[in-house]
Amino acid sequence: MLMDYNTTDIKPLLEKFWAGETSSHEENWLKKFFNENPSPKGMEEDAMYFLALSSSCSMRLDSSFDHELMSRIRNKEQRTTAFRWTLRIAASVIFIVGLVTVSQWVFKTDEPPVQITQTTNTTQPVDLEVMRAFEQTKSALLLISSKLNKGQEQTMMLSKFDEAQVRIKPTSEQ
Amino acid sequence: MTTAEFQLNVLPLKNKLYAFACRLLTNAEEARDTVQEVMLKMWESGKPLADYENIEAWCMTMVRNRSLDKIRVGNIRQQHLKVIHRGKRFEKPHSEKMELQEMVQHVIRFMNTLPVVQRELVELRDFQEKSYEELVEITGLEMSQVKVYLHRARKTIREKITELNAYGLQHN
Repeated sequence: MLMDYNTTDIKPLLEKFWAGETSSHEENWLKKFFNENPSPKGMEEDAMYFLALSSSCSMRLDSSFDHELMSRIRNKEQRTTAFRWTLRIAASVIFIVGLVTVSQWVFKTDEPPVQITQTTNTTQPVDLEVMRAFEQTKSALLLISSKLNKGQEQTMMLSKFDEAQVRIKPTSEQ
Repeated sequence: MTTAEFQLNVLPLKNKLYAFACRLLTNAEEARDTVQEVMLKMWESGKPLADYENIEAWCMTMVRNRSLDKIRVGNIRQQHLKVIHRGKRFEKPHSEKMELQEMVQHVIRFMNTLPVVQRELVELRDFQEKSYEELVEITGLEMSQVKVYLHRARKTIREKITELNAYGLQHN
């Protein structure tokens, strides 16, 4: 890479560098040049900058950083897994409770009379409103049946007209 | 992202992120905490690895934003960070080596006294050798701004080196 430029190109290249206009390729070339020529004549001050770049590095993070970070990550991972399991269990419980509630509701609405007879037979506390409704329906049905009986008695009277008609007919023919 | 993916793709970036955070915050403990916070946040996000276009640039941006927040709050204690010297030039007699190390320490100190936007560009471009496109991505600055700030930063350091040479180490 060093062969791409002549040493006479250094000065203009340095000017370009300080102006912030050099490419990565040119900067790498300058770094290599100053590494091979630590203190070229007339460029000592420029060389200082490149010496600082190539000969120093910031502090590094040792393996204790890795251990600390990874243990924190594993702790978080375990907590996340536990939380997910809790969520799954909670969701299952909610699902089962929901299923039971819905099935009970369906059972109630499909067979209401059975419910009433069951409750009366087993002498369990019965819903007051249901009982009232049952009593009202019963009395209403009794009322209808009594009226029907009365009507039936009255219709029996109609046969008397037939008898009268039969008796009248022969006398009118004579 | 699984823990294994995290260990393979994110954890190896720790030193680059740490160097960047050190340059911004000039405080080793704060820089360490910042890198840890960013890495934890990344893992917690649960985003798949494939969703990151450039994971290194993403982490750098996160470190930058977190560091700038800390600087804004303003309770960062500035430290003279210890610099590790390397290279053949330091394999010299003790007195010469000390002088060289002192010079380098001065140049690093000049860098660390630059405005934060300039020193982050020096770190990313001159130390970590990132492309201008990456500088734009990480800092969110315009390309023209990146070049202007980098020019100002280098110019300032160059002038301070000239002053240092003119007046000698004892005056700085």
